[in-house]
Amino acid sequence: MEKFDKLTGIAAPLDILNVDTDMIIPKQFLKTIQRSGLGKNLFDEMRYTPDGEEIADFVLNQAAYREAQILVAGDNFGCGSSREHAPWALLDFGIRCIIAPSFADIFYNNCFKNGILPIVLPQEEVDKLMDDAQRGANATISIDLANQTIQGPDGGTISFEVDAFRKQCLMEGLDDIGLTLQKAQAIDAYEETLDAQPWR
Amino acid sequence: MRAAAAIARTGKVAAGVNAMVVPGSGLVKQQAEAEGLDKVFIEAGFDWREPGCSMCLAMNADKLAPGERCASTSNRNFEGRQGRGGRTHLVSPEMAAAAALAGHFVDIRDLKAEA
Amino acid sequence: MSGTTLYDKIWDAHMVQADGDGNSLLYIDRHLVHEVTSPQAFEGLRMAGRRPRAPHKTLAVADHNIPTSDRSGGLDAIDDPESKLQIETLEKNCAEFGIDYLPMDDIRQGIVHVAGPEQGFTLPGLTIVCGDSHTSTHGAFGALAHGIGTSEVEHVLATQTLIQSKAKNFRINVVGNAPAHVTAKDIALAIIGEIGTAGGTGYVLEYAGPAIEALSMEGRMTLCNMSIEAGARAGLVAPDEKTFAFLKDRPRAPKGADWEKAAAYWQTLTSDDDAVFDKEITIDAAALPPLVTWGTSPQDVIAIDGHVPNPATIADEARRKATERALDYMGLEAGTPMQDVAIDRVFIGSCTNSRI
Repeated sequence: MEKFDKLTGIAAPLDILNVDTDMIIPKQFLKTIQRSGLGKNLFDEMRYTPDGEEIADFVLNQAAYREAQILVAGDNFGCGSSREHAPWALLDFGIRCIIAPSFADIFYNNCFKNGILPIVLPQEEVDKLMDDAQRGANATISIDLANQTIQGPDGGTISFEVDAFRKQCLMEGLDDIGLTLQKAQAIDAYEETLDAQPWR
Repeated sequence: MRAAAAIARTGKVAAGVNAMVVPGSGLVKQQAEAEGLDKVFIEAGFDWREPGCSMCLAMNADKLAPGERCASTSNRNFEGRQGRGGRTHLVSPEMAAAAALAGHFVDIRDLKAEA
Repeated sequence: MSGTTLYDKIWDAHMVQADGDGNSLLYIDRHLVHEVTSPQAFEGLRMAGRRPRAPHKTLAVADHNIPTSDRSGGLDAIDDPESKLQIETLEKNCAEFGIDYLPMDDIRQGIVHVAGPEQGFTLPGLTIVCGDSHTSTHGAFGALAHGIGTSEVEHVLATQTLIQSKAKNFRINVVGNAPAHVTAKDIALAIIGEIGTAGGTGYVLEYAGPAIEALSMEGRMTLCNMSIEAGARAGLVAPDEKTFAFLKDRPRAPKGADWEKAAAYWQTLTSDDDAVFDKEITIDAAALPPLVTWGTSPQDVIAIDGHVPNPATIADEARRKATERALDYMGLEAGTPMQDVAIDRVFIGSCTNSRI
């Protein structure tokens, strides 16, 4: 997993509530047996016509946002299906950070496993960043995970919260399976207690 | 499924409506067939299918065409969930069966009162 | 000290290690695997040279992209090469890693959330995960069950545990008797309409009350299935005699003395009378009509005798815009009686409503 430390990039505004994982990556692209290559189909049905033509108004098709690395979005981002193809598609497109008033649990979790930082901020602050993001290529936002701060294009600084363990995993690019396997003794000890419940 | 069959028994699928029933597993299918529910559905004009997720998320060949409107017993009415441009209305199995017969949504409580 | 909830009890019983920073290592009893969200997890194991820790605690079945038309031609008859490859990949991975697999032509094959309970793979008090958000279905048996991503599928295969932070407790009391033709599906839609699709985010829901006790196991599965549509990863119903009757003699359910012992333990799986919930609501089932959704979110519910809502009457700008967008997509005019809405297709099935 790629480490996440500091990120300075263009923020794209996606001012929609309840963006679901079916929107992020529709089911016809779930037939892959790989993680890579999904970026071209990110937001497929919003981004392209049924004939495969780009829909000019869609934010990621606009010249200013084609290289966006940050998304600013509405409440309950990532709801619906647990498909990890959603963060894979975002990452493959180049998105490393999503800022929203809230996220659906499973999606939020999946982001951290893939080096994407989801940031929860109060609605007023998301609104402000949404306004900033509307400014197109001038909407460069800087994120500093170590200090847990976001710097907007006007230089104002916003702080954010993140779970300490997840922060460490992101900053060091850690594989949490490796970390858990170091606790094998604790798992062995737990499994010995299962004899009392043979149906488990 | 039994509840939907009880409604299906009262009529025929309306002209122009394509209705399908997809059991959740081989065992559900077997049990339903043992009870004759498959015949009830087929006689009423429903398609009786093999088990799977099917049109709940349209990963197989079962999907809506753009603009098609569906009464569905599934769980998500998101845009494009059952096929690009497809319009999903979530309902109970009884309500779905009643809509199939009428060609539009119906208040199942009225239907029973008349019957 | 106040009592504990059903969720607290299952959580505590599965704690391998608390890490002090709010995260815990939780033991996973059962893992369901399907073809869509598993190939990358098995590939990850292979790349790292890892083996599943407890392969017999995993059950695999292909469900998402198998054809529902005639299957007598087997795998070779699947037209879509990508669907076919996904199913073949699952079969190969199960063989390589020693995981039980219900083949496509097996009578036991089905949607994971239908087949799991049928086999007695799902039992009260267990932790159950699957790379599918509708894993919440198994909560109908009083099991803590939720969807996970593919990275977590790999984590569970390799370690039989998950790193989790504890959710909050949210009890939904459903009182009264549901009228005729008001089903578990309508109760689920009513709850989502009431609390919204993010109303359960960060919580585990416990469904309780006489209207829940009155539901069949199939109805409880329908209800728990849609917990995720309310934003909750998991929903629970305390196990009772109906639960035990459903499970008795299922192929993988405990037998004989083990059954007796298990059933005695399962009886203890209820929230204490003095348990404290972080959030609680009450819904009167007797007042519910059959419901239908009008929009593009499961919270967009209306009574069958109602009308398509009018966005102009919504004060909140974000919600008004969302409603306008939904009506535009759905091709509906504000004020249209729902019963005048004509349909082209009907689908009866899915892990929500495909049981007997």
